[in-house]
Amino acid sequence: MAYLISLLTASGCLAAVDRRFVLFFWRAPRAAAAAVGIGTAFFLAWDFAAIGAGIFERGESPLMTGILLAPELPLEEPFFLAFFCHAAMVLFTVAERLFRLLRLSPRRRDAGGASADRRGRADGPMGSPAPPMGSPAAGRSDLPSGGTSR
Amino acid sequence: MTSYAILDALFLAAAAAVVLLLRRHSSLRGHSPLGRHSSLRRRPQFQSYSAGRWGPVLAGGLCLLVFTAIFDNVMIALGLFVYRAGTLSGLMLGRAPLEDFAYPVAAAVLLPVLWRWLRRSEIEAESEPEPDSEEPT
Repeated sequence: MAYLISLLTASGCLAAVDRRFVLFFWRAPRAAAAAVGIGTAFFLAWDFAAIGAGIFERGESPLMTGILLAPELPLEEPFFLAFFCHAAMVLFTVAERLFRLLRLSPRRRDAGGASADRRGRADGPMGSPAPPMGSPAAGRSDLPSGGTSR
Repeated sequence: MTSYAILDALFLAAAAAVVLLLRRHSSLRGHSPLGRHSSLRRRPQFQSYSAGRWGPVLAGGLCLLVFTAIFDNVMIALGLFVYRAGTLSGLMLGRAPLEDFAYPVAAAVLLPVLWRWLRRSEIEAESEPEPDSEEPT
């Protein structure tokens, strides 16, 4: 159980960073959910192939719930893979924004959470998963360096 | 017995095929990844395009590899999963088999390309984002 709790806690921390800096789920929720969903499905297929080929085996750790979704596939694995995909995208979007702020890449409206994304989020029929209380301030602090100068 | 390295090669090839397909799809449709302000920049378009596109992918990917090296070792040490003997090449980074690093390599390239493709109409329109056609899976 400790492993699942750790994964969920880490996911919560990742979501807090995502929300504070309007990176991924808080920038384009539906595209983010689709990307994480497709990524998780792809890595689950990879896991299944490895289990089928007899490469991966479940550990007999007391930290696991012991619940299996399939032979050798623990309940924790999809949570881990979704967290892994989200982490990869938070790292990428942070890098994208840093590159933009440091002028290492061309100024593009779509790079690093520009105004178009924020407008899309406000108008979006689906809305964001939670009210983005911190995001307006976070968004404004980004604009002077990336959005208006040059 | 299929080795882990062969399985990795198959899935990395599948990920690469998807990446090439999505990128080709965008260019065939004539989307400019540069936006409308390309004339404002000093550097040649292609050069800027490459740096802007792959720089963050590389930087994010390197971070993901470092995190994988740390946490894969922790997870293996805790006994969350094991590998059957005879399926690994034997190249290890601590307790982590080198083959495990194919996961972060695939994630670091596939996910950003997927993310841009899913938002292509929004990126193209720039100020008039349209709802994504893809539904979450």
